[in-house]
Amino acid sequence: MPAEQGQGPAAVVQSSETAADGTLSAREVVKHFRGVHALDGVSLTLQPGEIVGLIGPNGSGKTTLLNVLSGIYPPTSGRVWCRGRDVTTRKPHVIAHLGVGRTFQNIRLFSHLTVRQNVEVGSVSGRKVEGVDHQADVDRLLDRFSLSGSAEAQALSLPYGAQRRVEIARALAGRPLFLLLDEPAAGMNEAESDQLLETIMGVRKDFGCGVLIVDHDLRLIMRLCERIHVLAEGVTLATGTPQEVRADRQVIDVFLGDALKDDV
Amino acid sequence: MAVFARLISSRFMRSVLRTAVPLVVVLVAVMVVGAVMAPDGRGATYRLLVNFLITVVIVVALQMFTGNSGIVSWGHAAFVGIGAYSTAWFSVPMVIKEDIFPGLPAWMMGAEWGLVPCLLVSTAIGALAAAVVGLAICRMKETAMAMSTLGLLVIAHGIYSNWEGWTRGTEGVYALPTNTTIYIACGFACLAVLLAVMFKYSRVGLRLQASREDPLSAESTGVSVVRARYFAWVASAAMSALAGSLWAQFNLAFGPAQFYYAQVFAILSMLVIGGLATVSGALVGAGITTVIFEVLRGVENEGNLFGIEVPQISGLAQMILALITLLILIFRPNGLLAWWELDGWIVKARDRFWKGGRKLAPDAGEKGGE
Repeated sequence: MPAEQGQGPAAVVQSSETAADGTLSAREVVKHFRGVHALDGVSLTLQPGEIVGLIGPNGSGKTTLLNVLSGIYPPTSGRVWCRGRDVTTRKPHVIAHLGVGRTFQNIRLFSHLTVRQNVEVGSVSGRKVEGVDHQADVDRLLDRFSLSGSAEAQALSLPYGAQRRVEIARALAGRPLFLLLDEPAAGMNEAESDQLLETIMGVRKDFGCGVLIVDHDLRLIMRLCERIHVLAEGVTLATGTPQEVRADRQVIDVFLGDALKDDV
Repeated sequence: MAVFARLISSRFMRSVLRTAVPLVVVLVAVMVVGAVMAPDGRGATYRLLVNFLITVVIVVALQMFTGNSGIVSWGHAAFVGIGAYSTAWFSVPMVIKEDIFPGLPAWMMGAEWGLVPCLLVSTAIGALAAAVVGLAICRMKETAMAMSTLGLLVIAHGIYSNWEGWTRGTEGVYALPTNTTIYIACGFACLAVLLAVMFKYSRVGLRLQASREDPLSAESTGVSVVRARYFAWVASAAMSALAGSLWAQFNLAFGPAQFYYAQVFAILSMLVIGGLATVSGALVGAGITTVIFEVLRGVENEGNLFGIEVPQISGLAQMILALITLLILIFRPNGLLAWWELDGWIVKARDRFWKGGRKLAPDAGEKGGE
């Protein structure tokens, strides 16, 4: 259980503001693992339809923030709001029902189910929408992600790149308003990463969901995101447009360094 | 009518029928053999076949829960016992009941019900018991859940052995009426297979299988893992109790020792040998294990294996079964059928058979999903 913090009237006002909008947001989230401060007061808001990049060195708390947002860990303190509801201590499936879909850093498919069944679980368990034709939706998603040919194959039998696509298709099948992608470009070459960029742009255009993407592929992040949030050692180092973040002295010192000069 | 036609043509029904039909054919074949060999409904072969069909219901019930959730239940024999004792309470003739169940209330004392009401009441009591204990058990983590089912088995055994007024303790129960015939056993075995296949392909079944593969990513995909497990737990316990009632109305006398470790071990072995993930695996495992047990029992009792003299060793059947289960776990950990139902294997065999004769379509390689 997260500890209640006595923040006075200011906190109350902030909460009621948050309650009115349709965003997914973390408010002053703190997460400690036995004394390790994975997150130390991070706030981040994701609007529907925007693409936000979350970057930072290894161990800066990116995945932890994703896990707190999707309900896998309850935060030590701070709150998580989803579409006007306080979901700080709710289970992951409740948050998924509210419209938060996600993928995992080290792909976590339902290995022995078929590709179609993987996507079907997403469709029948995700955000409830009246009058959905699950079979048609699943077929469309399989088609969109070039998975129709292997729909009846067990998920674990697919090559790595296709498994990544299954994971995104499964998340999208749940009709999310917010999509959290944890290192989707890991292990991809430049051509594949370009293709992923097209895919995510297309997803935003056709599904209208907000995308929060964690990745080390700065070439991808800089071209894809409208807004970038930089974490370092569990605190927010900088936040702003790619240009602003690129120009930030602190960011260059702590994290980006030579990578920026070479890649962008 | 239009709704019905759409249901039949849906992907769900097609999958259900494709998987269930071969299994039902096997079960009916067993029934026909029994009916032809023993038209009078007597003899060792007849008993063997009827008990096999009832065993199929028990193993299929366990598959519904354990196969789809991936959580081993050691406690299902307790529900078989609930079904058997409930049946005894409502079917044993009053004169005997006054002697063996002095604790029963008056209205139950007078009950001398037939097959169908006994099956219904046993199933309901089994479901109720599971619904109550499931509230606690289904909230636990996977390993704790498996352990607590073992606790359930021990508690149930304690109750059966000591609740003298209702169970006659370790002395056991007798004088149940014979109501289960080979036709009835086969009918319920087919029904159990059909229900288990429908469950597997249903939304809840799919969610439960997803939680078996990865509980965390299932939750993140929107699956309430606790709810899916609870549903399967109650359904599978109800089916176990039904099987217990069928069994009691065929074997007529029993005691608490009939619902304990040896039975749990036998049922689990059947599932492991055939393959946990499939309903076909439950059926195949039950068949193979029944045959092995039968052959070995002959050895144990008469010291005779296919006409060859062998030394008599008591407990040999158990030991060999344990050895076979161990070998399966080492060399084929997903069981003989692994991830494919019988219909999948038939398709595979057909493809392999045709391979020599004609060229496969380019995408055929993806079909089996090795």
